[in-house]
Amino acid sequence: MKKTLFACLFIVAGAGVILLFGEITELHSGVKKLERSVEYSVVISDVAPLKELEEVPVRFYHDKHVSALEEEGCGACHRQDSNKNFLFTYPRERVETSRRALMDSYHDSCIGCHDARLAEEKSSGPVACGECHAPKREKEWMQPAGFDHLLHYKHEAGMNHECGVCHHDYNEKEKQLVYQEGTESSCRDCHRDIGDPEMPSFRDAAHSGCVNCHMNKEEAGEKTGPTACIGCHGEKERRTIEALVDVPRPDRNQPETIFMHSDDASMPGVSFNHKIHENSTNTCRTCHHETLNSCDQCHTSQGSIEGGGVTLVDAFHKKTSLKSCVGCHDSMKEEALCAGCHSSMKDASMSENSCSTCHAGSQERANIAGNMSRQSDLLAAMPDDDIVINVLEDRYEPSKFPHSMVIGKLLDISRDNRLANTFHKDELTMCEGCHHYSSPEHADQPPLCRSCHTIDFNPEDLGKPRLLASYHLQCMGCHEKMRIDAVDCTSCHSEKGDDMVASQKTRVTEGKRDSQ
Amino acid sequence: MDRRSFLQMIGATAAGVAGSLTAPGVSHARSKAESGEFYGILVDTTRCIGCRNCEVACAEVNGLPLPDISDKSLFASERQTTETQWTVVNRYETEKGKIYVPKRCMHCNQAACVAACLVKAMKKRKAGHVTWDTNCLGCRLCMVSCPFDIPKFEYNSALPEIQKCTLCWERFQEDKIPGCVEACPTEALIFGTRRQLLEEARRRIYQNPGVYNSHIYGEQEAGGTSHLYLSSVPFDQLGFRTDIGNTAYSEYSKGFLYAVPFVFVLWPVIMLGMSRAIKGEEKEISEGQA
Repeated sequence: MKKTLFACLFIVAGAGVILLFGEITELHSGVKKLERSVEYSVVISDVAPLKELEEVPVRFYHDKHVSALEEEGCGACHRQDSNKNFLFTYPRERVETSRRALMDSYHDSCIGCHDARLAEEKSSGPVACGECHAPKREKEWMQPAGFDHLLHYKHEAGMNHECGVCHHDYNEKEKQLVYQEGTESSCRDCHRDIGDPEMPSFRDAAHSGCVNCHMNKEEAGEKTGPTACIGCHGEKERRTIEALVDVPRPDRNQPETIFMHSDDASMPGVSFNHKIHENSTNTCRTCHHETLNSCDQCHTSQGSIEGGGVTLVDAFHKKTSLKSCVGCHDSMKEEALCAGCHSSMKDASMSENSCSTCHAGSQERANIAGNMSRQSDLLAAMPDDDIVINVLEDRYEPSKFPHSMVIGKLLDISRDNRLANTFHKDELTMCEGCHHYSSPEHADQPPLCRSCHTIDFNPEDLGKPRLLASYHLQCMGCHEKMRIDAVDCTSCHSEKGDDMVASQKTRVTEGKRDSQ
Repeated sequence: MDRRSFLQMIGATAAGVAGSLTAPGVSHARSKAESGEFYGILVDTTRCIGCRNCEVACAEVNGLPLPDISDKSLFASERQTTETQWTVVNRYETEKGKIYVPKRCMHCNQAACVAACLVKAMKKRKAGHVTWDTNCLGCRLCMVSCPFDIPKFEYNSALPEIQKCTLCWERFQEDKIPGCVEACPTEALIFGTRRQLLEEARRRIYQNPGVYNSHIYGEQEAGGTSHLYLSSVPFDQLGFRTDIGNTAYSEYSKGFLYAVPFVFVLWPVIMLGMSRAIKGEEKEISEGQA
């Protein structure tokens, strides 16, 4: 009897130990998983331009290699030039003569090193095909480094305003890089996507320029930027760059305001505030292309080869281009704050009054402070009551639409937005957001929704939703576009009382189909 | 009676018939049906909010058990129509977020179920409605033939029927729009002639660049359907079959079926003829020998 009791206890204890052990290992593996999740891979894609790949592209863990090859340093994989600066191309012995050669140079370098380290019994990587060429679904984390005005200023300040450290020209006679003040352009002006032996690609130029400088400064113990991939290419929140509240202007002797006019143009000139636009763009390239030339240098009135055949008029007015004034301003309508109204007034995107907003013809731009005063006459004239909508009164309680609150909010948005403040003619413009297609002459007395939208569904006019649908489309459309939540039924009209719920239930039971 | 008076009489009779058709009191629906155009529903999935009011309305107008629309957990899996739920709303995760898609009978222009039915219980009405009648054999060929898996059989009933959306055929005769269209709070569903719906669908695609996928599902699929769909993403992301092709399903069997009467009538005649010819020869030969 005792023996069996002991045996039972042993079994229970053993099972307990096994379970506990299992728990612990699971915990450990959990920790490991957490550690693994912060490793990010780079997709090796620079072989792709040659031809379509036969195998799955390799995901390469750069940070893993950096820590594994800490002793050997960058030189283990990357070549150095005569100035001991690293050229961050891979592999060291890179042969680009043919697709096969490039492929081989990758394979020889990666597998060769892995093999050698295995032989030396050091930590190593895979050597079989499928271990590297494996389809791994990982979130893409690589972001463009995004060298914006903030980063530019930080570098400028760090280099004591010596622009020549980064900006250079190539002197063909003396075969060296020179710097000439006032001629700075964007890196991409010369360093294009695909490089050649004379001119490194943008990618190579940026990596060797940025990372070498950062590494040298780090060695000298100076404050500097990141050297690991994620420092520049990580998602915004992972980057190690401190934000600056007020970014000083980039300095290339550009004016604060320009009066743009042409003698052979029929329209009055435009007073353009360059400074304001610097603040609302990320880089100079947003408008100036890579060259950073002034617009009329390439875009002539008749169009030229340098300007890509785009005439001066189109360069400012082309709606489909984000580099033109009209195109960029138009795209702003899709911003969350603006899209609520603007998405329902597509047809009224430009009116005859739009021209004079910019083409004022005077050097001083008086109205930049805005058309809309802080004191709202519109709100003062408006009754404060909520509008009660009860088209669904048989199922829901009436919904209350806070008309004056909505207008107040829209007015606030417009006042705080410089673009809206310039282009919204006056406070009555706000009415058009909901009371669309109303005539501008009667802007102070906009038509009601039911003036146009009929109660019943009209099969003869399918383009115009009936009243019930127009309320839902207008209200919910705006909430969705402006990213305001509350698109649930009961957030606008609460369900009718318990009697309604009860009747719904009886209907459910009654509704059971009689099967003849 | 000479030719002129005969023609006059014919003309007067025709006018009388036409007059009585358009006279007040005759249902507007009947004249609509005789306009020769198919009616249908256009579903704009960019407008559907997944409220499932169409499911409730469908149950109400057709006397089916009312679904509980407060239960949002149903969206976790893709639902099919059943014999008691002729319309269902599904939710799909797509590249543009969650999209709700109502599903019901497509009311094909040349419906496979109609072509498959042995006893003409499945009918394509003149106004486009595909309806079922009680003279059904119960062979369920309509269920097998439907590319959209719509007709459903009442397996639990002693006297089973085929159940599916009728595009509210009875309401149409009363000059009313389908229950689901009536109930839709955002007009994601609109009712009209197929021509009007296609026009409206194209207008929406054209006037909202970048919003819609420029394909109207049902315009060409299975030879065209009366139930049309607009979407912001490719239709394969919304659980739609994209392998259906543009040929009407009835076209596949048409050639064969037309050949059957010829074979039945002509084959015996040919065989008999041949038999007679051969026998005649045999007789001659035997007579010659004798």
